[in-house]
Amino acid sequence: MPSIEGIQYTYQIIYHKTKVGEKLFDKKKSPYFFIAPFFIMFVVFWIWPIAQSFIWSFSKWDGISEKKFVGFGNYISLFNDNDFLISLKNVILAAIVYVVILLAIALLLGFLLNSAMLKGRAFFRTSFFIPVTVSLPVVSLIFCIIYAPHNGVLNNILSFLGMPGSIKWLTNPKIALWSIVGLRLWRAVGYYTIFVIAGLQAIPKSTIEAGHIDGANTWQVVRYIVLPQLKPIIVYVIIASSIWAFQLFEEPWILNQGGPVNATSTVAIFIYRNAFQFFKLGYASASAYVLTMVIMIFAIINFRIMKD
Amino acid sequence: MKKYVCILLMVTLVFSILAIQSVGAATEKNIKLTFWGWGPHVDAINNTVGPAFQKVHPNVTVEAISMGPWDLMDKFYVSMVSGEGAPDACQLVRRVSAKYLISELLYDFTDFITVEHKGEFVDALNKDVTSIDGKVLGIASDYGPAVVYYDKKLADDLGIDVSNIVTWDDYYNLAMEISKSNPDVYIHPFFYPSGSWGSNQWKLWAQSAGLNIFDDEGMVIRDNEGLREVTRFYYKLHKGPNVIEGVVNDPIIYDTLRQRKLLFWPSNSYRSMEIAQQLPEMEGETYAFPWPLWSEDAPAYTGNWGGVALVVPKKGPNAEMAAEFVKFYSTNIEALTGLWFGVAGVPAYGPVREEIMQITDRETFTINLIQSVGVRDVPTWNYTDWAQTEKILGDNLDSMFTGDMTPDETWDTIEAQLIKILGR
Repeated sequence: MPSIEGIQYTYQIIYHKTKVGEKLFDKKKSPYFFIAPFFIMFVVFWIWPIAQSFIWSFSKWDGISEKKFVGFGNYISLFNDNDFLISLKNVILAAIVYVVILLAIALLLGFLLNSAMLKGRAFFRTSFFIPVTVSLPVVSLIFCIIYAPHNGVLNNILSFLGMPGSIKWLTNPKIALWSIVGLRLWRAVGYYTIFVIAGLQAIPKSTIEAGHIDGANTWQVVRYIVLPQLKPIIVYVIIASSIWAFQLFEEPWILNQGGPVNATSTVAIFIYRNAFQFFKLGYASASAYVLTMVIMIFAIINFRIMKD
Repeated sequence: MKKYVCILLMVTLVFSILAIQSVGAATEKNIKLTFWGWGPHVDAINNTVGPAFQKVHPNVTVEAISMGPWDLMDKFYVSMVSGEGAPDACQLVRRVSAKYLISELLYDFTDFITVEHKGEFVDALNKDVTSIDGKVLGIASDYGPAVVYYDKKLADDLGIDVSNIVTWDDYYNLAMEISKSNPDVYIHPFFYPSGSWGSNQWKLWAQSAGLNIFDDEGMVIRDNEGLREVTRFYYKLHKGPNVIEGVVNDPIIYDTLRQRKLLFWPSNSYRSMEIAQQLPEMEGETYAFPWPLWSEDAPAYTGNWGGVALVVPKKGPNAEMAAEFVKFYSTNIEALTGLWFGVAGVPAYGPVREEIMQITDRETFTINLIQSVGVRDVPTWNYTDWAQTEKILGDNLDSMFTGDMTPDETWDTIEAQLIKILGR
């Protein structure tokens, strides 16, 4: 194996002794060579498809026959399409509720799991993180059993507690979406809690101690010292989880195929159906751009609020 | 002298090169066919059909690559759109394959089906793989005719003799009677939310009545009184008796069957293997009876659930050989036996189907029972724009079961939406 010194020596020879080396490894140009492979891949596999689908969004095309330019026709049709409007409403509502509850639980769990008073912290941290590692089909199967109307785990618990135990968690159109949000929370909360714990551990103990010495109670320490220092983590959790929430697809697709009567349909399901089942690539591209705009607006609002 | 020896050597060398080239050209080049598939198809090809095909074509090897059916369809679609990366042959979910049936893209099997093997493949299934311009662009290799499974012990305990169930009215009356006298017993599962499963479950009843949503030109049949009647009965059948709600492979359904609380399960032949895999302990206790008739003098039809379409991209470098392979596969007894005992897919190719139905020495749970029930005729079903039709059907059936619409309103809405949204 070549030694570090050997590599450095070879580099110096190439850099200083040859003209090619000087040109190639010029201090101003060389960084671009190093990042070029990533950017080439980025342009080919990200930018180009994004640009391409933007062009498609103005056409009617099934991928095989000739493209037909329709201008803003797809966008206009989208806002007259009941399925799309319901999917958009579902995803916005689900994202807001999901992000708020997720943030609250992640912060609460973060504080608990970071507390020196808690015995067996490693065990609890691992336990809360495990749902993140379970594959989605398995999670769906587990929740089929939990949410089953007949003899389901949740209904059995409710019956045991003397409450009505015949709730149709996944098949009642008024409840189904929230049942899926519950599943998502169960899966994701452990992941975001890790970020909160990392953020809490980065706060110097001396700062918190100084707060206590100055007479602040626990709530005041949390409110005026800990939470402001956690702000970058909170922003990250909100942005990352909301992007994920807006792209909600797998859970409602596997469990309910977006039903009953579109109650769990999301924009991502709408896009998949139109692109890969109905072969309406232009229409699906237009709906993808509407979703992108919604996510961008949501992200900008978040940034503004957190900045203030 | 040296000069002549050199010339002689040169001439010898040139002739040798030409001779080697001509021998090379005479030998068939080696071909490796790639097949995309799922489940037992892949096992059958890699283990039996591929090697059997190689015996006939020694220069050809076949590699079947396994992937999930919907994943496969997505990848195949992308490869067809981009013109890159398509396999030599593949299978598609037949009920939604109509969108792929484009003469410019797929190999034409019209002569193979309509001339070479005239009347030997199930005619109603050939329709599923026929393009608008009348070309047979795939081979419908198997299908899943519907029967009614039942828990024999539970039926005996309840004093039920299933041979008395001839018509759907017999079934419904018995179901209502049992639901009243035994509220703990579930009559059958009911797929809800409908999604594509519920839509296709509804289709079993509609098809077995010999009806269709679309005519042969792909237009919606207007004022379809027959399907309105089917929708009414479908509602009555799932709303009246005590049924269990669940999605297509909901563990709760199998759990209820395990608890001996599920009496009947009207479903397709593929279901028998799923019951066998989920509940091997019920071997010898789950039986089947024929799909009931719509009336005593109605034709003895049943509905069909699924099956695959074997297709060959026309522009592939080995399209001819791939087509040969697909023809071989869809008529090969080893392959079709593997399919039957693997997933209970009934072979569409008549001569082999008849032979397989005689096999009784292989203990494979309920398959033998379906063999004893026999396979009823499946009438033609027009799968026009089926993915979108499934969605429209599913949404409206859900609305019907949530009580937002009566069955008559449901059918009227379905018909109106199909006409408006599909423009047919």
